[in-house]
Amino acid sequence: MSSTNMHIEPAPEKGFFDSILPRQVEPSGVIGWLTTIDHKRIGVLYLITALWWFLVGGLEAMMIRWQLHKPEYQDFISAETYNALFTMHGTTMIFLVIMPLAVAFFNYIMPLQIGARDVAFPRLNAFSYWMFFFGSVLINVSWLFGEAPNMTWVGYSPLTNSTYTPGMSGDFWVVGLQILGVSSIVGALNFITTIINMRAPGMSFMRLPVFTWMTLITALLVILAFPAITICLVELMFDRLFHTNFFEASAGGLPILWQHLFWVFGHPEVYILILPPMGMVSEILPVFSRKPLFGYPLIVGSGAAIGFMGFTVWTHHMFTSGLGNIATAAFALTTMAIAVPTGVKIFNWIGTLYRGQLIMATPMLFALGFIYQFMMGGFSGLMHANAVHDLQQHDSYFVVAHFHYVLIGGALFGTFAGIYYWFPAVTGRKLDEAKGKFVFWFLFIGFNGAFFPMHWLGLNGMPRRIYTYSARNDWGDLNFVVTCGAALMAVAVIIFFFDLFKTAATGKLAGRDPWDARTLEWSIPNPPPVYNFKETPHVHSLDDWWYTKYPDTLHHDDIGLDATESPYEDDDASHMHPSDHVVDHGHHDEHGIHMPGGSWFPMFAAFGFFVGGMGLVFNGQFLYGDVIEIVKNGANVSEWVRYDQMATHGYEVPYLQTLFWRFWIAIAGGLFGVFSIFCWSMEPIGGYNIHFDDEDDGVKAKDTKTPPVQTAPVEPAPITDPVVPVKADDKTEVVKVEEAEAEKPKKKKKKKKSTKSDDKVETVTVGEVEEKVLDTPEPGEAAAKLDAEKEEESDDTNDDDSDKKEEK
Amino acid sequence: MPNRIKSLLAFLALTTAGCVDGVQSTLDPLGPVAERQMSTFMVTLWVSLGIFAVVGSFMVYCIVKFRHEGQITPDTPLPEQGHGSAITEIALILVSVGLVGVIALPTVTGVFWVGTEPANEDVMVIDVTGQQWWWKFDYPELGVSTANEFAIPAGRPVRFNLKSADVQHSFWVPRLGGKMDLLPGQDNWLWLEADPAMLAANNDQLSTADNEPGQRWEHLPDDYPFQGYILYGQCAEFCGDSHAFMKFRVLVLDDANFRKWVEWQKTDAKSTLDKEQADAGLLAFRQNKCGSCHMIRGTSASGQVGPDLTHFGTRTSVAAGWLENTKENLGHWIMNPNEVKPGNIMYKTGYLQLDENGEEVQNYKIKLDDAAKNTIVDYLTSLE
Repeated sequence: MSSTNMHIEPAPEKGFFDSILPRQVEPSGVIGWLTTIDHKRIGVLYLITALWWFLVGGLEAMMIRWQLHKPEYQDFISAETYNALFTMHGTTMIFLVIMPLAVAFFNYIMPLQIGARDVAFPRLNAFSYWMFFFGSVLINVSWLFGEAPNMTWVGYSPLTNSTYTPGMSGDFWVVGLQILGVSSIVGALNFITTIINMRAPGMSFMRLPVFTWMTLITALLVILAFPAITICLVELMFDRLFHTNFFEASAGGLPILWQHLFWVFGHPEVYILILPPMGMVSEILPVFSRKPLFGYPLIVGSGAAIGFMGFTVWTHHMFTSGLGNIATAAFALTTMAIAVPTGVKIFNWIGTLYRGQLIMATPMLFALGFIYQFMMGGFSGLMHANAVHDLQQHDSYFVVAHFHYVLIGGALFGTFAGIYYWFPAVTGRKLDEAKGKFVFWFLFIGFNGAFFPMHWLGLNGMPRRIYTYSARNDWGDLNFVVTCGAALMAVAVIIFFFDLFKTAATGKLAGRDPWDARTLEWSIPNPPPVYNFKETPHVHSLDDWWYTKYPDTLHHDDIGLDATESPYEDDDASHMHPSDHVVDHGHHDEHGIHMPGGSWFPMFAAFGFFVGGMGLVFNGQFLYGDVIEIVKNGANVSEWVRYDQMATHGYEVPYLQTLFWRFWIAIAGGLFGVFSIFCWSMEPIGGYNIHFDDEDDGVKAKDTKTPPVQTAPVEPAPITDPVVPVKADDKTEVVKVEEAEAEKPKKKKKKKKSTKSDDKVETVTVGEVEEKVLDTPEPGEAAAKLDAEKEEESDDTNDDDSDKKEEK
Repeated sequence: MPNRIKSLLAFLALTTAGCVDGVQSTLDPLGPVAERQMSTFMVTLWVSLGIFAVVGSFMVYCIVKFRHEGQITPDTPLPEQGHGSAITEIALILVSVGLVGVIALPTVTGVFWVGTEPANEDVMVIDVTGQQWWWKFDYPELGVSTANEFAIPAGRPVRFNLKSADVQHSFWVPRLGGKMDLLPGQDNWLWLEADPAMLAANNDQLSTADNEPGQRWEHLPDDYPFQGYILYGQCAEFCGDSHAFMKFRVLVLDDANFRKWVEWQKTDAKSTLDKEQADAGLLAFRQNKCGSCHMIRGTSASGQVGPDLTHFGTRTSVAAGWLENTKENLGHWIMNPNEVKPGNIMYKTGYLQLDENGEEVQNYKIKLDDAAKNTIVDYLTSLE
């Protein structure tokens, strides 16, 4: 923050750890990113990491498609490699791409949408990220050892036990997923607490943006569903490492137990994957139709219904497992029932388009593609719900077609819509529109060309997870078409990444509120200042930002007001909805806005658990004696990887006596992780206070030693964004800004200050802003005008000061 | 409309594009179970197509009609700011529930029909044991045991008792019906039936002229002692490295030919080679330890670990449905099993050995040279 109107003051509290492990005051450089606890930076970290794994998972998919492009093709890769590729493709895309992309937006956008300064537990938030990072590294490091997991992403027993999957591939999978699971659960707890506790005053639950609602429901699904997979992963790990018999049929265990536990998690998991993109699309469609979301309460209600009913359908993944007729029929019915709330959402999205003004910018294209493709995926899902024919469809390419339609056609397209939509909010720049359209069309054509033929292939009897197939079945032609579609998708993805890098580096600044949007994250500068909101906003309705800009479009019955009054004309607290509570969060006082300091401990804790996890995977293979030998004599990496103890050590190692030595790395890593968490509980907040120079809060400006954080160049604002600082007593300049609308009648606008110290009500004349609809590609004029109004008040603004060119 | 005509119409509709008429098609049924399953699918398909037509066209209409061309300017009025319509919502929910009900009824009745063994009929029982990566078929009532290929009589329901010897597998013959998994510790089963009328109706689509090695075989070769159709099945639950190669074949025979087949299977092995060559073949078979895993009834080869090879000569495939039964393929299989089915047990326990450095040495336990290979191949293919 190098702007001239504010200065920072390092917070005085220092703790024990600060003397051994100094922390930055303001975050800067690589260390600033490693120790960040700022939800915005953590969101960016999630995005970058997830996009990297998207490339990895996409490469795996391309190799799969090349392997399958013609029948009986065995000259490219081996069957074992193919099995690892599709296993890792599924695991990567689900756990390392779609989920973290959603979490990136939960992190960045959700607190802005509810008017908060950060999430409830910022260090825990960082811990979530680092656990995700190290978990993703752990599971992929297996490639380097030739032990990539190859037992499918669902890992059915008994295939995954130590008899049929000897070696480390199963352990990498089991341990990696548990680390990722901790990341998800901890993050979900954070988001739930944030949404329940940290909403701005006036933001009742039915005024939450739909994306925030989906965040909440998804987080609730995570904390209820992940324990099931944790249970089965722990049990499998014990079976593999400690010779227990949870899934060992010969010893009385139940292989089908794995399937039940996994799918009790697995089905809600697919709703975890799709609800966030549904939320994104529910934000985008109203903005680009320039009218409210059709049936907001039902969209929210169906989301909640889908979340709840998602726990009642899991056995539809097991129709061929021999459940018996009654269970099969019952779960077929519950699965069909869940189609109803899903259909409601689709109807409502199309209802939003109806009689709108549809602007076909790239986010809108992806959102429309989402609706079409998710609907198609819904049809094939309905066909699966028919348990009779599902006995034919199960484990065939029909299933592969279905879930790629909902996961790529639905979740990925929705996420891309979110990336294109919120890119200006995060970076201040819009992605290139021409390239965006290219990406959309190539992705749309390529995706449908790749995955629609799979419906035919499945109905024609092609099983899934097969390395190659006989020429007799006539599957070759369609498989070739599928591979061509996949290639088109690859081209689209390459152009997308090119555009991403280019725009992030050199894109033109888009200005405030470039899409003329509806929700609070667009009411602050983009990129946002580190503290998000200078003053916590007071919310008066759903889509509060839109009605701030266009108060005449507000239907008064929405907020329970008398028809003659609108809170946007009279900010008298007595006119607020009864659910508005006037508890102020984050109103800054003489201490300024406090920004917490970064912390090393979340990363250290995650690293400790990563090492612990590696110790579990490499158990018995890196005995203490080996360390001595390696130190003394050196050794090849490949020789470390032996799971035959007789061959490695030349002697039979007694089991219980060496439990410690087999797992000493795991124990050490785990202890380090726990110790780091203990340290962070003792660590003082640190950080710094931000004081605004235009306020007299008794703290003088001090020189700050640390260099400014933001290194992005300051570009002059485009001419159409005339933010003119206006003195309190100079109304003529306000009138100048409004000259173009001199014809339009003016309304009186009263503003009441919310500080206790000043009861004076100022009257500001503003032009009517309802008609001043923005050019979509032009920066927000309405927003600029509102800022101009707000400059009338010398202190105590309700929104952020955009005339001060703050940099991020 | 009689079910057959409905099926035919649906079949024609979907296969005019030639997309779903393969030998493992689920929409080209040859038995009542597959046909029932397909007819419930058709209900869901038509409902989906109906919804797609209505909703899809409305969506296209909205996109085309309400698309805003050009820039949004200060003069552009906002569109009507509707929030929703309770009547529309309620109506759509009711319609959705109704359509779901339309699909639900045939589904529930179908589940019970498919999942109940036909009563009052002479149901034959076959015990199926799946293991990595081949199939064992035992007929407990008939005293027959074979591997990777089995016969059923057309027109008679067959109950398959499904057991797994190791990991999860799935038994799937798409043209006869849906699949059922094989899970250790669980007694799964399913029933299937081949319908003679459907088989006859399909006759003109089955290729009869191409009965050559490696070609599309739908009929058993003319020189086989029993005649009938070949249907194709495959494992459909990922079971390890060679899951893609775990296939099997179903011979659908009429009553007379089925009786012939049963009697044929019950006899001991007899070779078409002369006695000297046959003895040499058997000797090579036993000397190379093949007999410790494979049974050839009537000889001293009595292993129970691998597939029964008593009548290998009249089997249409090698390596569990993956390769056609030719001398060349069989020779390749027994010389290089790991190249055909990676990780297969014959290779890992029979051929593979670790030398003193822990390195893998192929054919350490079983060393086959070309001469031994040819002798064994000649012998096995002669075991009709």
